Amino acid sequence: MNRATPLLPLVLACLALALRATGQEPSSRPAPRAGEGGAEANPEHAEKPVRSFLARWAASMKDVSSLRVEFTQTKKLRFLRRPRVSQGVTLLKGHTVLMRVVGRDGRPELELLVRDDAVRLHYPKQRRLELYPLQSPRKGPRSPFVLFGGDLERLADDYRASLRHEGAFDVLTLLPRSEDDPLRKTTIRLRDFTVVSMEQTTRRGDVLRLEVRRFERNAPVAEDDLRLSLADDTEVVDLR
Amino acid sequence: MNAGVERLTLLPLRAPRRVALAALLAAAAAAIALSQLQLQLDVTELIPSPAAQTLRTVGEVFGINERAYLLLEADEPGREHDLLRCAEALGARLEGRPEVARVEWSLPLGRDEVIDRLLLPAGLLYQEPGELEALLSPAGLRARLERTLDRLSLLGLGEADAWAERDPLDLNRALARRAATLRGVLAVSTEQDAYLSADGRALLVAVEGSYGGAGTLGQARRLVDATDAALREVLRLPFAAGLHVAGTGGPYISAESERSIARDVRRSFGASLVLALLFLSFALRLRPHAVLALLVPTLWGTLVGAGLYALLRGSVAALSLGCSAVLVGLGIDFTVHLTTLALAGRAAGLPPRASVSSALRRTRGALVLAAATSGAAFVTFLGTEAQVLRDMGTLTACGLFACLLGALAILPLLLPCRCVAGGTAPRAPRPLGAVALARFALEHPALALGSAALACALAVVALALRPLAFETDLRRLQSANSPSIATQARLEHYFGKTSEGLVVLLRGKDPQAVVAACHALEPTLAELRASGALRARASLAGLLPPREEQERCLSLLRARGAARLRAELAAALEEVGFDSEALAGYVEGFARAAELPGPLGPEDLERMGLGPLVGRFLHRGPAGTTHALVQLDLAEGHDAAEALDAVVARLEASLRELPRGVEGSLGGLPLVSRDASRVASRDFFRVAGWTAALVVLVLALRFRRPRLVALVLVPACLGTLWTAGLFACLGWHLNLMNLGVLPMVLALGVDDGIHVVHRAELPGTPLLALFRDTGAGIVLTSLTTMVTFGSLGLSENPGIASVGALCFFGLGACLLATLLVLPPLLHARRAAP
Repeated sequence: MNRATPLLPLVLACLALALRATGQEPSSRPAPRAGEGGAEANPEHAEKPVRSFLARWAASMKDVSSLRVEFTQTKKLRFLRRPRVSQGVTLLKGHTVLMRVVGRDGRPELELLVRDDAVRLHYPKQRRLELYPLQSPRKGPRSPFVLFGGDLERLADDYRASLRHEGAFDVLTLLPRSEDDPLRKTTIRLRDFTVVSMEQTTRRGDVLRLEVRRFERNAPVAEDDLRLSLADDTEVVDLR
Repeated sequence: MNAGVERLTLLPLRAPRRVALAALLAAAAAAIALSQLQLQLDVTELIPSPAAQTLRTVGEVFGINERAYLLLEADEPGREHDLLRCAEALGARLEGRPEVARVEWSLPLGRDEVIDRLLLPAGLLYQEPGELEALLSPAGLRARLERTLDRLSLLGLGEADAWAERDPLDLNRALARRAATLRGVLAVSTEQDAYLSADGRALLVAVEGSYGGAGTLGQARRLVDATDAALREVLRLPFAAGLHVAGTGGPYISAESERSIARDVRRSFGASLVLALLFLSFALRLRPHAVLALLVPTLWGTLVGAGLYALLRGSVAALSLGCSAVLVGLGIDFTVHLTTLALAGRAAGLPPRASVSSALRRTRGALVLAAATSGAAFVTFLGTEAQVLRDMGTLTACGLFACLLGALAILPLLLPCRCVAGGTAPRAPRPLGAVALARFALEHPALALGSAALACALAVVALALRPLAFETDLRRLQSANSPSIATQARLEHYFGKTSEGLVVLLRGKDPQAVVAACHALEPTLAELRASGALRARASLAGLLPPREEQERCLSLLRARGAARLRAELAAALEEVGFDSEALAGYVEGFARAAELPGPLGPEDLERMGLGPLVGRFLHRGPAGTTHALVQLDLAEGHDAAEALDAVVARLEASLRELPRGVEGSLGGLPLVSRDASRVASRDFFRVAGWTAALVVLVLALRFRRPRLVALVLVPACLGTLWTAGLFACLGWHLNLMNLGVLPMVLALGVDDGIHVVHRAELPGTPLLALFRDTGAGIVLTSLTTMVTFGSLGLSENPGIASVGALCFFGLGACLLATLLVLPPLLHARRAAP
């Protein structure tokens, strides 16, 4: 595939799966109108350098048809005793997404596969595979989780964006325009338009930190790479 | 007796003032009676079937009949927010209006609200007993919590993390699955609670009237007017630019039907009158104002006949009223025959009164006989099952006899008048080609009879290749250009084929038994879904697990006890890595499940604030009867014929096995259409048979000789056969409206034969002279009847339009047969020894 894949929908499918995995969909929340709920009355007047940066970032992702991203994610959630640390890799090719989280022993802890209008969530330790329907991307504010690109240029419509430079790095800060948004702040650190790290905080005090160890555009991704590592006695639970 | 008949016949000439006064009083009384006439617009009310009755009951009990549905559409995707703002603005404007009970654009409670209210402790009763048993152990709890923890590894912060805190045991999945089925028949987006289409371009808004049941026409109209006014305001708001709204549903269809019927009546009445005026003026060589006067008896007869109907029945099917214009064409026949003879007498030199009395004497027998045969056809409609036909039959029969009375009583008052009778040298009516055709037939009998035989053969072949079939889809009786029907089609495009659904109505005295019956149906419904016959179902069974399953869950919970549940969950949370103190509320709710007093019932759900949802599917009436509604969405193609019969048979078998004290019945438009087709089939053969029998009986009583009866019937039978052949060629289906066409063509077409044969039996009447005297009358009466029926062909309603077109052709065919076939047959009869 030569043209850019619609990566944002795939990303949002991953997020949607995170919601579907709990058996329900995001609660309805009308998309905040551009200009509503924020100090900036007109997002079109957001700093031109920010918009220019977003445009160039979007251009850098335009011809990407596959991705390989290796990451370490740390979530500090108030209902957990300890931060949840996940290491893994995400492969994207065409309309298929595979995310694999590995434990300290290097064995898969969780696998997510999005393909053919279905989302598959594999719990290797429990030998359990859950199937969910693939939903269209959630309508509402565009997600600021832009690790894989997406509609970058429109981020400034939903978020108050600011940009600063720290040496070789560009630091993009996104603040939601709507007071209803559970997110308080997203900070993305990039180098040459490649995400190096991301930090998000919620209004409840939860914190996420994502370190990208490897970000390879148009990586060679074989079909076999996009398969789940299912054991023979895996229980399949169809929740579609 | 003859003297009495003579006195009665000539009464208008002897006591004109008394007759005129009586006519005025009768007209006034009729007008008063008509003002009280109720219109029935719901087609399902016209079908006497259990399915239609079930649908009506569902509409009344659950308030569906008084709902108007609005389709809000955006030109482009991504305007869900604007659609919702429109709905909110509409709701704000309609709230508090007396006509409106409620405006809604989502389920009364969103999925999150339902889950919130049910999650703990009741949510544990929603789990499958087997799954709950596996869960209620330290290992089971750990496994479930570990899966939740694993899901936290998914990238990003979002609702998944919020739900992990809210429900680490993922109990909500079972609740969400059940809540999702409540949308059953509606294919809406699952991203929002609102009735948004999956592509986000349309929003469904329901406006419920406050009048209860189907309401009157005025109530429906007021609801529509209030809704439309509010919509006009809302669409002027800036955010509504580029949005479109259209309405459908009971109130809109009622209001539209009323306008359509009124338009049809005006159009067909107007066309009938104008064309009748022109024909009469041309044929009778009278000035238009004279012809206007001649229309008076027919208009009087139409008014008095309708008034008599109103006194007898009180209400009329709107579809029947749409056909009332044919009374002008039918009723004027009597005027035409009497007038042509009277004018012929004047042309022969008789004074005005003498020409009228002569015409009365010569034609009264034939007029009464023609009224009897025509009226007989419509009287047979009274024996049909379809109310639309009974109404049409009664209305037309009353009108016919009143028009006959008008012709015999009022016309003689007008004919002698100078303005009608004209000057000193009136001319005979134009023959209108009757003499020419009759002469041709007499000079070329083989050709005339051969052509008729060929036409018969073609008709028979057409019928053999395409036998008459009955309409199976009631929706095809709605106007083709109906905006409401078009909106319904758009709704179905976005939200699924809701109009092809079935409903199951359960009723009983014991609410618990009725709820149990809902669950008892579930295995059958699951089987039908697995086989692909059903797409979805919405039922109280979706909101409430079966009692037995809840009891099993309760016994599992009680066996463990609240303290043990509390301790085991807290320990499992800590072991897996959750903070049990941060989740103390959840732990407590989980433990309390063991202390639930019993299984949940509808009243428990209502106490938890889920009453608006329960009310969709369960209704407890003041008389102690509980109704439950199950909505079924048929899969594509399963609403027709054999597939539908198979589904219905399976459902009916389940309904027969319901617990004692609970009855169930099926309804839905596919079933009502199917029943309508069967009713039409039975009625067709009934009406056709009785009409034929009555016509033959009346003719036999009059003419007594079989050969004469056969002669009279020949043109009508030929015309009916040719009309049936045309029906087959066009591929039209017999439906509730047009199934009476063929019997009508027979009964009305026989009039021509009656007049010809009646005159032919008078001694010393040459055949051509017969057609000169009588031909004008039969051509004129046929043409006026044809154009009045033909004016129905302009109707927007396909059923009424088919009646008009076929009658136009049929009566024309009878006329042609009378002028081409009867002359050689009469000649042969006279020539025979």
